Amino acid sequence: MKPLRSVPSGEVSPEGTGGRPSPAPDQVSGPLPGDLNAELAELLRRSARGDEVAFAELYDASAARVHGMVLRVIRNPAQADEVTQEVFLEIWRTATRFDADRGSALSWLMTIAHRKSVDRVRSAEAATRRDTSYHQQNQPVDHDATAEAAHTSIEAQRVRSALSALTPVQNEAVRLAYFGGYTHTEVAKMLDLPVGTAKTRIRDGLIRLRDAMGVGQ
Amino acid sequence: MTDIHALSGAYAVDALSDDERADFEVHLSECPACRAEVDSLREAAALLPLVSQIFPSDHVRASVLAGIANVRPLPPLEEPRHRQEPEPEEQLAEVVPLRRRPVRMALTAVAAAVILAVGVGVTVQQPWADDSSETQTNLTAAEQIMQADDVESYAIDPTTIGGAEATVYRSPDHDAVALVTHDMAPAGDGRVYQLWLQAEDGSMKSAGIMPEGPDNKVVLAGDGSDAIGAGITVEPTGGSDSPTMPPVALVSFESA
Repeated sequence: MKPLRSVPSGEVSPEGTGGRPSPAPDQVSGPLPGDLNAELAELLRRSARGDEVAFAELYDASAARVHGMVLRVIRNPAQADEVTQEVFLEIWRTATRFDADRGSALSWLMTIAHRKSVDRVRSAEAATRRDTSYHQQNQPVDHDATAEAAHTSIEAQRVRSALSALTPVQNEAVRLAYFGGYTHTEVAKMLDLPVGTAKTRIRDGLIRLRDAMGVGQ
Repeated sequence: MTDIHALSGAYAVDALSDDERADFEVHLSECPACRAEVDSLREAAALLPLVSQIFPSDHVRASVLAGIANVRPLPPLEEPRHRQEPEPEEQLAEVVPLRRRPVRMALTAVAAAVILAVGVGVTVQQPWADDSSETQTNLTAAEQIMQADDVESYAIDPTTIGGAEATVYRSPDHDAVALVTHDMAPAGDGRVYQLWLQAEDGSMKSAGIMPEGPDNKVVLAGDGSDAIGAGITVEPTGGSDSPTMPPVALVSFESA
């Protein structure tokens, strides 16, 4: 269990991550996005210059978010560990490409993580399809309804509340796309929507979420 | 495809098929409004995982921190900050030689002669490195590759593609491969040009379908970091999982 730091940006310590107390599991939500993003952006800039201490801090500040998403998409814990590892190596490798003018640090990290997760589940599927056997990948489908209940931070509550403002179809479409890793075409079939409309639902849902959370303006 | 803009949301959450993604990335390189929308929707999507945060096990952290010692961080992109750059002279100094960089015709001729050597493409993996920096510089992703410091170019023998001009550009620094065509004849009714990256074991992995039209600048899709070459085939509309016909052009990367 690694500490998630909640120091405000500007007080980023160069001394690394040792010695801080581990948070209780319900505290992993960390600082509010503004502070977190400023901190992550600074850590990314330092990582880009090869600062491994800064990278360790970056890991500690973002690993729970990254891994929580990766695990939710991938489901298999061992594979999720692998993907999380790949994600952070990619973040290290490409830290110079982060452009704060283009978006927040968190969005940049999560975009890399999500793309890698989706690539993994799709290639696993393709491999399964190539197999003539009917064996499913041994990916336990343990539906994690509890995962959402576990986090009660103010920020998570805001997200949940924003999600509840989506129409049911928008909500489902966004979830299936984001956490399920399904294409909009697959989402349309799963939700019995006319071909070509799931992409609109996904977009409308994200726009509503964006506006409710006041991000990306 | 008149409503290609509507794909922005699906693109932001990786809900496009590989082909759609490749097409949309071409569109993104030309549509600032879509780029801005994708960025903003990614901000929204990044908040979704807030409701399920889980720390990975300690061994993941240990592997990551041990692993970075073996990974060289990429250099910054060449021209991400033109506008703020105080020294325009230096910018020009960088860019001009690149534009002058001669196409390696000799090498290409050899490649064409050995026609079965295919070229390779690499995909840009950055969430927005491929379409981001041109926001500020007006360079498309393909142009960034073409102007990269370490760009290698491979002209395709025009006789194999109906007299068209086609050049493959590869930048190891960008981890990316682009294809530029002029006067390319249509693939034919019910057919498309499909792009491929060749893996070290010789297998071909789809790198997307070329947009219609004689003149294209496209970035090959897919993880091409290990690719040893790139190729073009004619496939039925919609593309194929693997090439169904001999390639109309193949290039082998010089330093793969």
